[in-house]
Amino acid sequence: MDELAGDYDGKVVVGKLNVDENPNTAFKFSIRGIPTLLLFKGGQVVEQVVGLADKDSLKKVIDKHVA
Amino acid sequence: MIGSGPAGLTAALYSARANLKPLVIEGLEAGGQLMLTTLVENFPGFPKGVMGPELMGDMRAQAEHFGADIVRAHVTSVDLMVRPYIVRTSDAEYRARSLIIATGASARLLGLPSERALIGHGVSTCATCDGYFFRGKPIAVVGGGDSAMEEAMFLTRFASHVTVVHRRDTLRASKIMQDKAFANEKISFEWNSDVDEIKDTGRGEVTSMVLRNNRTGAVKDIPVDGVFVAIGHTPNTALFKGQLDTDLNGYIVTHTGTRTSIPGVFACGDVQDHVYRQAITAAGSGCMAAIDAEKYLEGLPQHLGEAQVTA
Repeated sequence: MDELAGDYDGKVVVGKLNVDENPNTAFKFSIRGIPTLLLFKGGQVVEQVVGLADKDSLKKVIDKHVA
Repeated sequence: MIGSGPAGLTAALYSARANLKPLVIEGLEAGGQLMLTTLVENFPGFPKGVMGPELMGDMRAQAEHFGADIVRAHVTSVDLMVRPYIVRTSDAEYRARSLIIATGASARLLGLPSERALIGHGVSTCATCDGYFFRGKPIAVVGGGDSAMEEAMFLTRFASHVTVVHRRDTLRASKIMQDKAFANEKISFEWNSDVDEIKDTGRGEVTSMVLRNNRTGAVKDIPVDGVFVAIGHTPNTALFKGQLDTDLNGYIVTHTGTRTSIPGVFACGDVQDHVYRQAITAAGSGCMAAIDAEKYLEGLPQHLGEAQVTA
């Protein structure tokens, strides 16, 4: 995730949320498994990836929505 | 070595001690399936049991102590048609004179569209990972083997109730696990039951599961907040499709020890074992693979080890 933040600097803001400390946010998005990645565009969730994924797969998912 | 569970790390340990300069590419799930368990009580040498992650940490440290190189990377493709073999990750390309495949197996899913849609939103294959989200809630575990019983019992620490759903009327699990599960007051059983659907994909979270009795045809809709699928594993062999012989279930076919259909390529652990699938048998086969690889390398003419790629 840190590498992706660097690679997409200026195009994608990458954040990390600790579900133990933020149970309401986790509940809001019906998160019942971690890690879960949510990709937001224009305030909407446009992609979700649940579980471990390698960098290349994540890049493919992000590239669908980033110019 | 591709893979860092007990098979891969034991192969690395033996190879390192034989001065073969082994490189282990960990994979996404470094440490393998034992990283997702708590107390392991059936690995010999631990009369009080050992925590899965601790055991794997020790195996890793032991292999590194003797000189194994362990890389935090994920193999994206391999080419076994050239010598030395090519192993690619997203950032690098490795050449190997011999290759030990120890990629293990991953949890099988039921195969329902509703199941896939709700993974991470109530559907899970890992109790230790996700049990936390179900504190005080009713949940289900689908399966009838030792893993399913372990998951069910672990989940009683969080859940208000655990319903075990099994398609037959007897469990596959070992006697000791069955007895423990039957004795647990928080666990009930739905026998001869198949899961038809997990609801509610419209809401994006698990609210119930629809079970069908495969003897009577009776259908029932049981409210649950989570469904843990524990029906077995499928070997991680997609990387080798078309390059190595696998059986009908996708397991790598091995002969005369850990030999695969390509000389110099060996397979150990769950990726080639659908019978035993224990940490100790994986470790044992990892040792065998290292010894097989060592013998293979000794028998190689020196020039075959050099970086010559034939067109």
